[in-house]
Amino acid sequence: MTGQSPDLELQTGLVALTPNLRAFARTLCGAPDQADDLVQEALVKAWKHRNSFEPGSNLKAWLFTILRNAYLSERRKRKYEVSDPDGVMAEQLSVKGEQSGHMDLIDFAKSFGQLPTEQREALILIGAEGFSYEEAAEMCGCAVGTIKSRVNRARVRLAELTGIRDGSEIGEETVSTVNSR
Amino acid sequence: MVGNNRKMSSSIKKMDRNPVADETARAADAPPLPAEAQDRIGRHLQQIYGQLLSEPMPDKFAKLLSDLAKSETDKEPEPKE
Repeated sequence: MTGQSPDLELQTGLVALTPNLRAFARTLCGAPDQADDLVQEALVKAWKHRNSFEPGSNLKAWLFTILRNAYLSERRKRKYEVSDPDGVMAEQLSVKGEQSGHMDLIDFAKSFGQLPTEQREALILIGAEGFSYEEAAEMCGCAVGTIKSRVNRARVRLAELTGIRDGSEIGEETVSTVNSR
Repeated sequence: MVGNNRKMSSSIKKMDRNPVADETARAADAPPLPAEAQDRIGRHLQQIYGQLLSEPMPDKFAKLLSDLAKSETDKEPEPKE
């Protein structure tokens, strides 16, 4: 039996997931300051409503839903832009990053920032955070088919913008791929 | 060909009533990317997301949580205890 109180356990869980919250918030609103404000807002809300979290259920999903709702209500008040037109995400990434494939990654980040928010969100939930389609649909309050549609359209658009589709993207993958036509 | 037409007409019909089904139908019209392209996108995605994840975390977050835990303010009424 754990000697920790549920509150302490939750607090530990929240600290552990804050990097994910920050990354997801950046996905939603791009600018680091806005993202961090969102995360703080979400943590306060999560703590306030901690009794509605069912221990043993998916804490990350619960937290992400809180963050997402906070983002949407801020957006309704027109505080945030819908996408990332200034390539804020790409700017941040260009500070670090490995040498090989470096330009591709910046290009990818810029293209990613141009996607509509709901496509970025769906793609991250499925392709980066590893949620199932069912989980993502529940978190986003929509049908599974809608998530699938958003993910697919995001991928197609990314492939077009970055030249992955027509093979014009330069990178170590292209060199090593023998089977490409 | 015939199948495609059927899908198109059903998506046009559904547009009037069910935007979700329409969105799904439209996605069905757009073929998914070949696996290789999907993999490449997935790798890039995980790289940029991974960089976001590994950014150093400012103290203010842990501090916020610690303050919240200490203050015990605004707790929603609990069903038990």
